[in-house]
Amino acid sequence: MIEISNVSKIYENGARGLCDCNLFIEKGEFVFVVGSSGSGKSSLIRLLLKEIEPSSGKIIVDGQDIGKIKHRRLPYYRRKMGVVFQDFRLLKNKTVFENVAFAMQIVQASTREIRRAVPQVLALVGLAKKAKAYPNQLSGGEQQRTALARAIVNKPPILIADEPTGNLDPDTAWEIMTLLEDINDRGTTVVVATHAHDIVDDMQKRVIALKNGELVRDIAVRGAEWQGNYQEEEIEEELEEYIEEGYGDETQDD
Amino acid sequence: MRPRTIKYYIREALRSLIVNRLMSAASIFAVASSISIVAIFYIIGANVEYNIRHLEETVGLVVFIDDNVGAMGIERLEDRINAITHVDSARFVSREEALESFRDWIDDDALLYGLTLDNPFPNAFEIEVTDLAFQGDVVRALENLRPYGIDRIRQDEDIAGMLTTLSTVVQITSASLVLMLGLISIIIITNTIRITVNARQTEINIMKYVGATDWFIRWPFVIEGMLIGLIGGAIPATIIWLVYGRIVGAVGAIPQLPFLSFLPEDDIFMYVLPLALILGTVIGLLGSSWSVKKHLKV
Repeated sequence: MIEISNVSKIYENGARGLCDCNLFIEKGEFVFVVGSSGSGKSSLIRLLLKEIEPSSGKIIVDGQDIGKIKHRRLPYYRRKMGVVFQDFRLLKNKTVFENVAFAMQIVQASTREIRRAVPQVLALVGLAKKAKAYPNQLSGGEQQRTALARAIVNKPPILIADEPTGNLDPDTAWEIMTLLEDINDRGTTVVVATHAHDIVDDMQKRVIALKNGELVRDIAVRGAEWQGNYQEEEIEEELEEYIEEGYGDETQDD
Repeated sequence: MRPRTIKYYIREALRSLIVNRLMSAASIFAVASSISIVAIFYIIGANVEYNIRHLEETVGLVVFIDDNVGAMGIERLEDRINAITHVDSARFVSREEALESFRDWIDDDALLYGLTLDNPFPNAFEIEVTDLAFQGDVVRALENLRPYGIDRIRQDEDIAGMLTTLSTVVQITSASLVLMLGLISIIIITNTIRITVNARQTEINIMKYVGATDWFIRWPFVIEGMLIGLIGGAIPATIIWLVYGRIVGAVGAIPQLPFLSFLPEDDIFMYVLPLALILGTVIGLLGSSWSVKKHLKV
């Protein structure tokens, strides 16, 4: 679903965003991207959103080389992915319902479709009773749920979450992560950039660790680890091997 | 564009106007003030121009006819004068008519009685030229008609020249002022709208991430800008419509200014209304389009 080949990003001020990064994310995978501030997490997310261009290398998303997408076509590419941010980024002057409906309006969905889909997705994220509330009347967790509902209402194949629990207390953070897992279970590829080590440790998902712009660790399941570059087949083989050998239960924290 | 999308744009624009009412009011005020100044200068310019035209009509070019020319000769002369380029009209004033006019002027019965016995006024043509600037050409053509019975030609050459210059100066000045003020208005309004749009940068940003096309984002802002401009243009137009007649009436009633004449209300409004509305809408449209453009590169 997402293929990043030899991608580097050097900013104009000389700061290193990513360095010769190679990554393959399968359709339907749930991937955590971890690392300290300045590790390259945000650069990776921004590159995937095509907010910035790589200095070198190629990024293919859903079979499409995103480097070749013209500015005019960019909105159509972005519709393939739902995005969730740490600061929720909700439209303050719109209700929960309208914030979610907005994502459907831009794809020119009919009023009937909107009236059908929005309540469904709000029910899914547990906000059925808050449809008429404005963002400032919601708790942080509820705001993030609204953002999640907006991100998934058009059923995008990919969901990208940039520090989705950064502003939330641990319990609420767990709720949001559980929701992301539910969304992933429905077939959506989920990429989550986060600082929340405890959640990452507990959720037993693939973890990609970045440090100074380099991919330093890729843990597919607990105990399985690769350094640096690799190929899709290698992951598959190693995964199978580790699972067959029963290594999956062993803990190996980074 | 689907009807429901257009409906969405209009709804969003109206909603934004109301939600950001303070900024909307500031923008409308900026447009209304700028257009008022433009309109006031236009009205002053148009009225000065109107007065000059009025004066031009009174600036006479008179051709006196030789006393020996008979009725047939006068008729032929009239045809020749009318055939001259830039002659708008030639009115025959008979000796008797000239004396009658003089009678209205003079209050001396003895003199009038003497004049009636021996009318000294010759037959004449009062000629109006299409434009005072061509008076010189017309006079030269009239000189050539002397063999056909023209005795003398009287022209107010200095006044004609002065009025022509004044008219040109007023035209150029009012056009430059309107243009300059129009440009200043666009700059002021663009800045005001830019502040409105800047305040909503986050909103535009969110729209971009959710996958909105540039035009989907731009349209509500453009419609909002146009509405601001339209309202901003309608305010001065309405005020002018309400007060122009009264001001003109008041100024016209000042006894020291009997020579001033004013364009009728309808003539002013015929130009000021479209000028204010179109200028306002165009300023709003350009201002909002330019302001949004900067934020679309995300």
